[in-house]
Amino acid sequence: MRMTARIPTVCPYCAVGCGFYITRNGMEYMQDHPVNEGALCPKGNAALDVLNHVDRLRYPMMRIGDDWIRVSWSEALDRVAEEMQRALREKGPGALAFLGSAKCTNEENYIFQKIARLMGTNSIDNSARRCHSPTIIALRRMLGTPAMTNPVSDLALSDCIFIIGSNLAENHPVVARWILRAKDRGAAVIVADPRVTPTAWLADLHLQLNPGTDIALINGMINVILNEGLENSSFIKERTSGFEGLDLSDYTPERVSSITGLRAGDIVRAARLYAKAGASSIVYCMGITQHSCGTENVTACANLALVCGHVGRPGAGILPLRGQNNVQGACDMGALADFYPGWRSVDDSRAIDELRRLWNARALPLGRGLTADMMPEADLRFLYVMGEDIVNSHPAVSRRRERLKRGFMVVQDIFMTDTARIADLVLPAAAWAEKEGTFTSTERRVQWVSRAREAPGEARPDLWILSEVAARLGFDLSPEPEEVLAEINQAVPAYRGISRSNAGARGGIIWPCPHPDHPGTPVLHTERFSTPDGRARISPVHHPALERTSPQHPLILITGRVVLHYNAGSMSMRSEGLVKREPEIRIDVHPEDAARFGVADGDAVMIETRWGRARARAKLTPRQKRGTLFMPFHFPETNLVASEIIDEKSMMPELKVAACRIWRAD
Amino acid sequence: MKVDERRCIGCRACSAISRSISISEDAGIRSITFHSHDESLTERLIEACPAGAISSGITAESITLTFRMKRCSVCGEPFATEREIEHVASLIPETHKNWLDLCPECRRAEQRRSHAWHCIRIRGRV
Amino acid sequence: MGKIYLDPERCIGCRSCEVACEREHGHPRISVDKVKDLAAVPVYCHQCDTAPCAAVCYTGSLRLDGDMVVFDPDLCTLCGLCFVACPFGAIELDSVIHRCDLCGGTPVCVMTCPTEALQLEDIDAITGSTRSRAAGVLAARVRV
Repeated sequence: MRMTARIPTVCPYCAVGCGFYITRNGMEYMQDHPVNEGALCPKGNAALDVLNHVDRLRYPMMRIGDDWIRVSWSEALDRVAEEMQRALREKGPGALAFLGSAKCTNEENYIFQKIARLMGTNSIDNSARRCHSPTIIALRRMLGTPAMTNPVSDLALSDCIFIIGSNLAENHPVVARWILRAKDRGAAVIVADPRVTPTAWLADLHLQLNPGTDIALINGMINVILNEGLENSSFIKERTSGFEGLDLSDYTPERVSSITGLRAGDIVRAARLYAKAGASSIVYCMGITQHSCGTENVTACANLALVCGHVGRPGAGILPLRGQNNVQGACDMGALADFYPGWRSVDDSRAIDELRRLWNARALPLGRGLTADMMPEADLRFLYVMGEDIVNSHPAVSRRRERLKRGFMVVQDIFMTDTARIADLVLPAAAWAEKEGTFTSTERRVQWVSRAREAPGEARPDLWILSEVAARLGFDLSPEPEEVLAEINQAVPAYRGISRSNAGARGGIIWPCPHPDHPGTPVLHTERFSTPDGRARISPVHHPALERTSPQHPLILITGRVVLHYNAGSMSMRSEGLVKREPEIRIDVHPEDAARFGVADGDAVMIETRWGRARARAKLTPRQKRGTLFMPFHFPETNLVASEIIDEKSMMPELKVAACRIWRAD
Repeated sequence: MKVDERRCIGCRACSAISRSISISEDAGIRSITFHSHDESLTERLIEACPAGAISSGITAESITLTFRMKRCSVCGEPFATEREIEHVASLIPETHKNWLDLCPECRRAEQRRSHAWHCIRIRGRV
Repeated sequence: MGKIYLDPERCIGCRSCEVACEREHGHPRISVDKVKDLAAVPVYCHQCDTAPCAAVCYTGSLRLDGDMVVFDPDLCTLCGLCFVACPFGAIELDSVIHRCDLCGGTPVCVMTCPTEALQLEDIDAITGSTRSRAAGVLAARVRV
């Protein structure tokens, strides 16, 4: 255990990747970090609460009936391997499933998916499924690389920033820092969101559109841009393909106005601001992805950027804000049912063969495995969950949690989450600051995190646990992060030149980094796109005619996040400073809707969708769009009512839209 | 010790020093009870009293002083005794003292409203 | 030493300043709340030039010192008159007085604020930078 005064680390919460120092007794701000410059949001400020928390899992535990019995590591690890091999023997690889962690390191996710694949299954997934899976599919197809094209700090260089479906002021507060610097220079900010959020406070133009009408809005903007000759013809000609197929003549401002509920003049204004600016950026998040047309929504965003040539330059880019501290990395490492490491599709046998040779395997599975939502319905005999509270983070799984237990279930985590509670075996893991390895932020920034504290009790780094399990399965997989990273260099082209040395420098290194002396690649697509022909693919998409409200369910429920909490709450709900400021679930209701349904401010209400019912306290606010309601999903109630309609391309559930009704609870 | 109820403003100083002096609030009335007493604290109590209400001497029985509290003109919560407010008003130099009618929570809300009025006007229109 | 200045256009109501202040001091000395769900404002000690808290403090525990209000806990009687006297409600009182003292020179709220809404500056630097920023924005809009 080092005795140096302060150890640099990266925040374990969201994907902005803010740096700070852990000291012997607390934390210090890291003022020379290139993204946050010393700042931290409230969750970052409370991050250390997780480390010494009294609830931390300390010993491996096995369930006997309703009781938990402490067992030794060797007994626990033997059991994991036995059960996995038994399931494989009795039912084949289709009976195995793995849930990886967007909060564990790259090295850990790489080894985790390697074990799954060596055991013969592609049924490994991570929380990206419910977050940016549409981004992965759409941007990979259109641009070649499924990731943010410019770094966060580039936003300060934009002249126009179009934020759609993102409440970054609450969920990625440090990103707002760079947007404000752009505003200091006179940049225009457009925010498209049905709600008036703190992000909308920063807008020069707030488009309060109807939920689920983003394609109509964007197509309407492109329609204006083409009609007024504001497109970037030379960019379209030289750097894209597919423009000829774009017929958006139907999306007149008037028609779009009736679909979105926006004023035609505002649609025109937004289009002109975005197209005419020297450098424009599109920033988007769950409001775009968490829809049954999520993949089409992302496609529309990219179309807009491509038609105007606002990609591949400083200040001009497409910025999907990823959620978890290592969701980008978990995906890069292939902890996905539809991708191997390095973004090799599970259907691409030639690409997979490269890995087969690297891994010295006889064969590797092809075809999409089970995604998270499919796991409760599958006939599983063995489920291994690493660092994911799936019971609280996925509505479909939440409602069917008992079915996860049909086979043997192992949960490896830092707390006894609701998912761990239903497991057969619980393995105590080290938290982010108690181990070593790399994390990849939303801007493709790979940063090495050093151990700053001892893990409590017998908790061990996930990498050690996995290598021990692997050894018992007959695989020789190293428990040393640097060695695993060296293998990642060979398995993931974008990470080829990344080592502890450059990842451990202040601010790490941004991939692609093809060789050790490469400075990293903050801005992508400057000369060519990463598609086979080097051109970006413009693809027409259309506003889906989806059934929304009905007489029985006349309102739309929007689910989302708040600044003080984080996802399913396993960490933030254990932080006193955060919980006391946001202690309970609330539902935001417009006063006119509240009056219609006889609800007063502070009343306990029931909300019902076709999937279930939940109870919450009503908060009346004119900032909520009439006809819509908002519930934060950090509380388990929200999963009871969230939609299970899926975007088939990405398997993303439609979490942003659910027809509902409310009434006063008694 | 002796307490002069005409001078006492009902502040919290003496009850913070001596366990024999208790303070409570109920229904907009603050009550301070002086129980019979460890005389060794009298010096400190005389020094600590902002109103010069404490002096040396013997008081055999307990005495309870009650003070009407000022209710915040916005939220109605009692937050200080009326005499404390008069005492404060007499000492501060400003001519505008309307904020003395508000409890500290409502003063914060007022401060926020006035600091953000420009933002609110612009954002309300956007 | 400078004072803490707030740019209300930058505050996003994240309450990071509160969480950091509480972590450092045990009880926060800054309080954030929203106004009409359209803005957020932190409230904290203004280090007033003619501080009412110092005017009512009869022991000299709170007193003016240069351009700051300083607090000596050894002289405090916990009378609570400063709590009553502060026009901004920036002083809280339980078993001790809670009031911003700029953390002795490098306020954590300023360091941690994600949007630079809180800055530590002397008055001339702040008004100067506000003016030049506003002029820059105006110039950019005129150009467009």
